[in-house]
Amino acid sequence: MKTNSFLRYIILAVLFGAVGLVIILKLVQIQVFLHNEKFVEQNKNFEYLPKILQPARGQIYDRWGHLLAGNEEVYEIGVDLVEMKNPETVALMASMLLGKDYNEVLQAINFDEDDELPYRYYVLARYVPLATKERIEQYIESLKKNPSPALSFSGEPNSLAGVSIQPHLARVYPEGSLASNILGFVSMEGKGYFGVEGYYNDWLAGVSKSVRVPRDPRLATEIPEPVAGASLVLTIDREIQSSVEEILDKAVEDTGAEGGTILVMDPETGEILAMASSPRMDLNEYWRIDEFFDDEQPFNLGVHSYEPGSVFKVLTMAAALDSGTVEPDTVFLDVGVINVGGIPIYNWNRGAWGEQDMTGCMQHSLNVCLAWIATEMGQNTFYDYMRAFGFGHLSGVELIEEVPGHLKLPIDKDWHPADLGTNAFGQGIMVTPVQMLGAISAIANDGNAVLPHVVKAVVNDGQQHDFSSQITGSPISAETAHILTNMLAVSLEEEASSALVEGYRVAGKTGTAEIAGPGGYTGELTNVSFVGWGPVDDPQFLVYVWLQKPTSSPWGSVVAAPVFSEVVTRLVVLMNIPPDDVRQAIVVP
Amino acid sequence: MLQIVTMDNVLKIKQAYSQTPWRKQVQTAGLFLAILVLGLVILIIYVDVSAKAASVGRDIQQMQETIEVLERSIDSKQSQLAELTSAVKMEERAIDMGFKPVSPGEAMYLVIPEYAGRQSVVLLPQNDAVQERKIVLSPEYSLSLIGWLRQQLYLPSVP
Repeated sequence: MKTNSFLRYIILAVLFGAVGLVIILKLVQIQVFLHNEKFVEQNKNFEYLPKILQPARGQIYDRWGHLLAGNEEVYEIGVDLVEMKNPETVALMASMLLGKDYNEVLQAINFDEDDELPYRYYVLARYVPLATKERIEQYIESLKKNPSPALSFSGEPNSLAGVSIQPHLARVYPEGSLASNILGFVSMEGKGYFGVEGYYNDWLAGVSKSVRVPRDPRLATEIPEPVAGASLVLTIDREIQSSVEEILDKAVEDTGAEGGTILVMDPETGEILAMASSPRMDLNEYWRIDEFFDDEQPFNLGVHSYEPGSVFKVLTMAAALDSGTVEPDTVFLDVGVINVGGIPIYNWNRGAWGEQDMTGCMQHSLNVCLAWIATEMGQNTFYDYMRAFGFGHLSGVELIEEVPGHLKLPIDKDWHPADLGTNAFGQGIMVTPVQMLGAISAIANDGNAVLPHVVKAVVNDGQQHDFSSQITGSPISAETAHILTNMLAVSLEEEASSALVEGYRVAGKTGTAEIAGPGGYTGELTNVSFVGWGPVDDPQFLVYVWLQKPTSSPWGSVVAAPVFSEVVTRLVVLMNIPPDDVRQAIVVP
Repeated sequence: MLQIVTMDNVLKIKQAYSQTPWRKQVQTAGLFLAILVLGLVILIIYVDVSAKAASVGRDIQQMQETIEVLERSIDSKQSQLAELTSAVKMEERAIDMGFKPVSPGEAMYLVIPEYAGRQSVVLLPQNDAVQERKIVLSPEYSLSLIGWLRQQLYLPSVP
């Protein structure tokens, strides 16, 4: 009896031992000899989860810290076809809540069980806002409680199993269309277009990083942070920008202009305080860009080139005074026509204005007088000054769509001797309003031209790096600048110009330019401009106005000058600039 | 009754005890149990440390996810705040409250000694004396059991 029991124990032990041994041998065989590499590889695939860390795009602020471009959480709604139970419910949800076509979605996600799936994950919608995402979540929860098979076409229980909601950040512009022409926008792919979004795309976007996150929590380590996008502080003043845009929109509407731009710059620093351009678009709906802009209507007129017309006379006169070609009291006998390079040049009214000093030439905007001045100066001197003023190349403003304009030089094949005469009053030369600001800043800033810019500081790596103002050169002397400023102030006052602002002495010049078409200058529609600065004894603002093809009047003095006055009237309040008498009476202790 | 204890007797008694089968079995079982207990202790320590490491690792992963959620939330909140205080909305509020734009003639100017005027925004320090933000993972989260034991052995005694 005792022997039998012992034998049974032995048999059981041998059996269990054999089973255990077989298991161990099999493990050794699998892990060491047979397909071990394959299993190791499979394990590696499941050991880590690949993840792309996308840093938040840098924000953009105005000079006072108002957020102009930020980020908001949106959602990608997708479906895992392996986890999905009822494609009809998913298609119905996409149709009801995401505005998708039911049949299109169903066709994309519905496959026979025997078929191999062409893809596992299907994106139903991107950039879904929070409210829609919450409605989807509510729908998912309600279906979990009550699948309602009766509602399903196939009779299968309704289910949104497999639907996933992935949060991510998207660009948002809290101010809508404000300063849209300066900011530009970011596409769904995360690329910046136009404005500073385009110019500083690499800085703003940061650098994404691919990492492998271990599934095993014991292997969790610190995940390296992606290189964060830098934030920008613009020189733009939100309140001034808003006011200027309001004035511009009203001016465009009142004058029947196709579009326009108004720029406000500090002539001492080159900081652009406002750059309004019409038309504008709400950047949160950037996909509607084609409704607003085309080849003829650029995104930002402030950096688009055109023939400026008589506002350019300011620079011709500056060059002439500085080179000693003329003095303010030099007298010119205007007979109504001058021949330059074989081409007759007339005044704007085709009249002869008789004897005029240089202030009179500017006050009456005499083409003949300025063409004569250019010929007296000589082509080399004239174009040397124009190059020194910064024409013919990019100004350097941080807006990606800026164009260099076109300054024909005597060495160019397409230059004609008559160009010297026409360039003198701003025809036959292509410049941008920003270039004009940079050039005329020399007159408003004691002869020193400054670099117009829209970015004040970059915030990166936990520090704010301020951009210093840059003087690009001194094309004229301080004395010339003061003389010309006074001449232009007097010419406005004697003309009783509608550009004048009560209580503030300003200097400026109107401009009316014919528009060149395929068959030459049309003469019917014009570009009207005004450039002005003030207060004359201590210029704190430089304003440039350009309206495209106004229909109410073709003259800059009628259309653009009042706009300048309106801008300055608002500007002096927003910039806390007291009237001249008050300011001059203030004695700072 | 008196028994004479001799050396021979002692050896016999010792031999008799040492060769007792149940004593040998007890010794073997004791050794086995000791090894078993030691093994169990090591196993328990290993499981405990592994569990703690897994728990802490999971906490780290959750914290990383929380950081991402919070960063997205902060960005969204900033944008929402900016929208609520946008130029258009602030102007609407001001008009609703009875304010109107001031004209240059209506403004009164005062001289405020030593007031430098409104300064542009400084989002972050502009100088170089900035503490660099650095995330340092506590060694407990990455130390092995052997490493931890070694560290404990070599730690200076605290008075």
